[in-house]
Amino acid sequence: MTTDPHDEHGEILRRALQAEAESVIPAADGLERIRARIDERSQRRFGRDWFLGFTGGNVGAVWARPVLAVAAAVLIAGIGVTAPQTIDLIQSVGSNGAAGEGHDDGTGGGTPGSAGVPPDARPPASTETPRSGAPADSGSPSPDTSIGATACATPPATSSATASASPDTGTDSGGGSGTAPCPSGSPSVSPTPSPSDSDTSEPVQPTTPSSPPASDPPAPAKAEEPAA
Amino acid sequence: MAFRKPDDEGVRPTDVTETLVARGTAGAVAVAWDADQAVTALYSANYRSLVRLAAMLVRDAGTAEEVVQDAFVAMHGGWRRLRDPDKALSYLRQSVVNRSRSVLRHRAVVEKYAPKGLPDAPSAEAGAIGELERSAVVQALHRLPTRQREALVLRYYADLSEAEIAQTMGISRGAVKSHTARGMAALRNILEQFS
Repeated sequence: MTTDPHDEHGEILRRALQAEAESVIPAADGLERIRARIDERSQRRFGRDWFLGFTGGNVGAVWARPVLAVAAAVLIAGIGVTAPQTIDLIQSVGSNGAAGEGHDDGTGGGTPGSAGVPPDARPPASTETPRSGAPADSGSPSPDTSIGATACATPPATSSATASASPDTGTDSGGGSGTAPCPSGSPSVSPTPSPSDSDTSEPVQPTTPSSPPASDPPAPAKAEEPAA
Repeated sequence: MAFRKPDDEGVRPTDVTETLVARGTAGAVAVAWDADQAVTALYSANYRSLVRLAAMLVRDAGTAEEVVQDAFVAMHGGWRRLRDPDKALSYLRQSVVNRSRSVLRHRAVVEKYAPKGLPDAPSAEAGAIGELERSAVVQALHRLPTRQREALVLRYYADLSEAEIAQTMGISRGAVKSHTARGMAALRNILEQFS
């Protein structure tokens, strides 16, 4: 009856490993070291949870993520809701500042910013003209067309437009209410001298303010209107 | 009996030399431990055995203790994710083997760029035959590839089954057989000297 040499070798190996293991004596303070490491780790975790605004327990970590997700969603939604109002507020503040200086600067500041879409930028300007003085007048041209509003919002433009299309504006002025705001707008821009001289001193208008860039684009528009 | 569930603490046979028998822990009562209690209980039952197992793998008692302590800390941190507390010992053993593997990998890199001296010399008792046998076998064991050494240590020191070794090492049972057979073949010359 022979033993398996593999088992015999295994026994030798097992005996040697046992003897080797017996020589290893762990330190007695192993548990204290483990607890110290656990405490250190839990303190780090507590600090992280505290940073997140929670008390640090495992219970807090459970509902921390949902609460954070809801809070982030509410924050994003709030930003999205208030963004248009904020933009309007900024625009109104900007145009109020421009109205304080004068319509020329206001239109001049509006046109470079939105050179491609002057009609969109104009409505705020037309809504602000009531503040400047003639709400009924500025309101009346707007029903005609948006082009009429733009013409009223840019007094120099209307003045130059009247230069190019004086017959039309002449008839409109004869009509009364439609063109009345346009002169009323222009006096507010350049106070008194322009309304009195607006009919005759139209060549002077382009030279007065720094609004030629603003007045130039509408002028072709007015010129196109009669053509259309 | 070294690898014991904490429930067996009261029935620990004192007349048995310390061997790593994980299979003899059947009948453990399911106890709802909290993490601190589990660490304390598993420490008192298995810390020494785990340190010795790690020492077999990393050849350094201090490093072995650190490895086992890290495993305990990790188990404490992941105690809530440990669905079956009865498997805490298996988790610890697997963690020890993985961390020992990492230590050896790191040590290999360090020794590659900063070679050190030879390992500790045998003790003064090296003249004894048993000591000679032990040192020769252990040195031969440490010359084996890592996987073969792990398989042999888990098989002949921890007395684990092939399935348990496969789970601990994260390999298949066939691979366990292969590593064990190759390791034993490599040690045959040394072992035959003492047979």
